[in-house]
Amino acid sequence: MSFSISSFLESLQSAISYVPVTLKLTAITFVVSFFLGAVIATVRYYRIPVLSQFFAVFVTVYLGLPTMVALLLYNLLFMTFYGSFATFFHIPVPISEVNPIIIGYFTLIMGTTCSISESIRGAFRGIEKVQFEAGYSIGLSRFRTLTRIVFPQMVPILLPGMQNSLIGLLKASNLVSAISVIEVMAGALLPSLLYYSYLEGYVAAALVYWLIGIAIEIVAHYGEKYSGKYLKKTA
Amino acid sequence: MGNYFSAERFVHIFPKVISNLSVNLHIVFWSMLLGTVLGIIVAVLRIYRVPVVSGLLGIYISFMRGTPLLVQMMISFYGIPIVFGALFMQLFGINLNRLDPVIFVEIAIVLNEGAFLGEIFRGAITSVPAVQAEAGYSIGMTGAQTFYRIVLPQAFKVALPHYGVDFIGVFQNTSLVFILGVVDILGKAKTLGAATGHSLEGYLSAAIVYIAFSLLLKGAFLLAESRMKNGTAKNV
Amino acid sequence: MIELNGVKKSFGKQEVLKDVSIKVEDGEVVVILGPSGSGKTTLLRSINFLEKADSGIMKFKDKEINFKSPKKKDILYMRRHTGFVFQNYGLFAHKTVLQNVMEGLVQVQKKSKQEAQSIAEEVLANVGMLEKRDSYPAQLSGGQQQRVGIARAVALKPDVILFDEPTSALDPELVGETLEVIKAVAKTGITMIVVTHEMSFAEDVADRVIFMDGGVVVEEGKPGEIFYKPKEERTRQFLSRIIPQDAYVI
Repeated sequence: MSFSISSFLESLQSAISYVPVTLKLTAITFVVSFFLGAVIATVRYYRIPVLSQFFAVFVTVYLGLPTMVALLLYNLLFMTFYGSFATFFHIPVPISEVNPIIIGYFTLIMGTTCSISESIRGAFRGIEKVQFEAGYSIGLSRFRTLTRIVFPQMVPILLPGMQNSLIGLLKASNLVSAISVIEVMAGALLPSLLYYSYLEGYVAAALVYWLIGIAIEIVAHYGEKYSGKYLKKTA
Repeated sequence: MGNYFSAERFVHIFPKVISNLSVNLHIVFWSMLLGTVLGIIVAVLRIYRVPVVSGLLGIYISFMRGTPLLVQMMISFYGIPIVFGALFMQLFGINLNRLDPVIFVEIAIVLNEGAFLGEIFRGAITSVPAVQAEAGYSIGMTGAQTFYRIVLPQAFKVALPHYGVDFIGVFQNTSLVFILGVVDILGKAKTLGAATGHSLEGYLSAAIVYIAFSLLLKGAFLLAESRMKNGTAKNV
Repeated sequence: MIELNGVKKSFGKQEVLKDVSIKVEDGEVVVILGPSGSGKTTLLRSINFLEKADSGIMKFKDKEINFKSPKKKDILYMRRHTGFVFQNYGLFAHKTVLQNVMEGLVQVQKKSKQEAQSIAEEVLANVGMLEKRDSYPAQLSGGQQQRVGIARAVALKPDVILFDEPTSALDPELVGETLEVIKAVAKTGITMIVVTHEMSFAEDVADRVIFMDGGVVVEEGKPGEIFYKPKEERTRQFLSRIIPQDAYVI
């Protein structure tokens, strides 16, 4: 056995054709998780009774659960209960017609929401109390103080962590191949199944992930420069 | 949950699943031990900016951080026998294709950790203010003495929280190894599920073990951090 | 204009305001003096609900607000009719000087951007900060930041401006320029409540001085009375510590 360039190129081509699947999975999960994570972090920052305690326990426990275990568990629960669920809600779609990527989204969103909520909580601690007070003092409501004063100031604090979250999510998105969703990694392996050229397939997948990751880093770098300009001491 | 879940089956299966925790711990132990050594080497080489080596390490770190661990494990599993197979057969008479897959998993995690821990250590070492080293030199210490007695102990405290998070991450990443046929707790849960036709109890057992052990590790690291909270030099 | 009655506030077991009542007339400049921990800053912050007092009544214009259970709209009303100048400036760190002043005009008072900008520019010119309109707070000295902080409060044309030790975070050489700006604001006839340690400022500008200690108002009166003929022993002790002895020789 040796490394076959032609198999590699074939895998690379196949992997690239599944880039949209991976990008969509990553982007949608990230946006939804960011929003939910911000809500959880805000609830915990303001110590809203019951909810904040619930989220504190939930997030701590959930962060102990590996994505793969969660994925297999949710997939099993879905397979087991979809039938009765569909009957109850009169959903006419048979289970074989349901795209398993829904379970992938659910799993990734749950985990990413929890970890992003922790990052945002950290960013809250990085905002001085007087920034809130200054917002209140000119008559802004609590909600608008958050959206106009506090959240924008969090952006440069959050960016490095969010870049890591996004790349982490990009890398975790390949786990959904375990529940027969075809994305970049599974896509790269399609030609391999014919020729047993697995090494070529995985190397092709690695290359594609790597390039997407570098692209994210470049974008984040410019974002950091732009959003943090107010922190600089000189104009 | 009707017939889907039975407490009896759960009680029966849980001990079987948890007995394979030793497989996960074996992976974590060797990966962290060798990964830490590799990480220190990477960090020091990066800090001293050795020409060429530094550039290559940059590419290595970027690759390790930019590609999924599962893909790295697979490349290790399929690639090492292809690249080094003939060499090992001739030199040691070892057939790499017959090797326990756990070895390839561990090689992949060690290389991965070398990059992640290397960056953690580098950040921690450079975070120690220069005046700390200067103070070491000023009382007549050598470069090595200053590094080991002054800089490293302070860097250790900075690195510890990140090291803890990374450590727990490695433990959680062992949940991927069943894909290569290594029978860890999740692998055991899957096997039992396939044999009995009831998977839920096994998966729940694995989930509980993972969560409990992650929380335990987190608690242990928090305890260690609080024990050494004092004595961090502030940047001024 | 503004009247506080029986205001009480505790932080845990420590009672910082023990039944405080003060009254400020329209157009009056009132300076609150007192040692640190006397409760003067807490009292000022309570007016703007940056601190929640435990009990007491506040009368402001035609409103009467119970500190025990303030309504949300009353809190917003107070904040929209009062300005606040912070000890550590409290400029919005991510906004330029001009944007800092415009924020309340546009977002709270719903003025058009153009109108807000021309008001902001005028006020910034008054405090000598128009040149720095496009700078971020991090690029300014403390004194410059505080002048913008004052401009932000003044621009909203509040009924009363509350100053919380506006010069105590400044380097000594920057105190003077900031006090000049505050004096200029006082001359416009706006109602002001100022918590400060600057005696000469109080003497020049204040219509009335209130001396607080240990969570109560010890005495109040014209600056001349309080500084040179204090009735209470506690006031005398406090003044002897901060006014140089030769200042008595007049």
